[in-house]
Amino acid sequence: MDPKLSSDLLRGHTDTIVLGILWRGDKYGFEIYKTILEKTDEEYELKETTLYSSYKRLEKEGYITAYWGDETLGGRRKYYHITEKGKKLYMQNKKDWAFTQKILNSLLEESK
Amino acid sequence: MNTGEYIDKLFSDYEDNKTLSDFKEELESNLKDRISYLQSKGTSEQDAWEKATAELTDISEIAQQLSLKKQKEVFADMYLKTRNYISTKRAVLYILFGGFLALGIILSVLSYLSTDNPMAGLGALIPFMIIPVCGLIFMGLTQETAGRYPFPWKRAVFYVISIAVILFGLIVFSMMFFTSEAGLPEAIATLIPFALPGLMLLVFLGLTEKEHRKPWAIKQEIEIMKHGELYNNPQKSMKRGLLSGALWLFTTALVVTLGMIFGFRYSLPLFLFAVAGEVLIEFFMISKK
Repeated sequence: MDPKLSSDLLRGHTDTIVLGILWRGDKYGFEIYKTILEKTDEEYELKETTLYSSYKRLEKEGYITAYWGDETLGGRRKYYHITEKGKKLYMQNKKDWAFTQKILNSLLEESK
Repeated sequence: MNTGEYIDKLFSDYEDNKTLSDFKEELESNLKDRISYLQSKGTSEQDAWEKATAELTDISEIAQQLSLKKQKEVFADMYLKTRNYISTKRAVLYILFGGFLALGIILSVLSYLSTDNPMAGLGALIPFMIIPVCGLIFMGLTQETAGRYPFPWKRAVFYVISIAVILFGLIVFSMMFFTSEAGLPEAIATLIPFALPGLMLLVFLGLTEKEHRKPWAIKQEIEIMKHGELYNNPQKSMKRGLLSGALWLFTTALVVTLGMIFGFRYSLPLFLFAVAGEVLIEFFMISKK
């Protein structure tokens, strides 16, 4: 059977994924969503609700800031910007993940 | 149905507030982009619409959080005040001014009792009361609280000046009243250069004052006005006002009269009874409800 992407596992890292995408520049909601789709070859359809919850959470904790774009045509877009605090969290989460991955690998190795 | 209508319908159960309408605007622009993106990839208009909107069905969870969060913030601001608005520097100043004021009152009472001359007591009040009272007023006005923004310091200075002048005028008035041969007329005349201009400045400041309460505090007040029964009724609040006005006038008259006859040392504590009476009036008004 073809390997499948574990949505649950990915969902637990939504905040980190969003922070990682924002590190490369300010983006608005749909851009972030599209980036995730493209990066996962459209394998992973992250629920929009999950993403919006993530933005709200990150914004509240001060990891990202939001501002309205100055589009005149169509609706205004809300852009998100990563803060220094957010960058720190991203680096820490990445480190944590690498460590977890290592442990998980060795655990799964044993059970073979 | 267009995107705007769709989003409005999605959130029809939630009370609109700034946070929610911001969120709706964000959602709509993203939804539009999502639909046109899907169409550009060859999805039919109908399918694109269905695919994009299908994901938004459980978005109402967030809406609930947004309204709930708003309420929680108001609640936290009111009762569980998480932020401390008084810095150490300010706390020290409050204590210093408070101590200064207490010291002034003690000194003035002592000098009055030891000399039996009201002049001595009043004289001590000029520096020992005016300075700390002004300091405390300045601190109070420029203090941010859970429900109020601070006054700009320049405006606070004007308030302080007006109150200092009024206080000075009142003390001079009492001094003239006790010492001058002419008594009352001369004492009243001293109100013209001090208390009057101070009062005029104060009234001017009060009339031109802006709103300093925080938005939630204003909202809360409207809410309380709506639900509060006690003073919502103008007749009731008038009755209450008249009652306490009468109490204080009566007490003041009694203090002055008895003070003239037996000495103010014995009559002044009568004000304590007035305070007790005030509390009783409040109790009476509440229990009558």
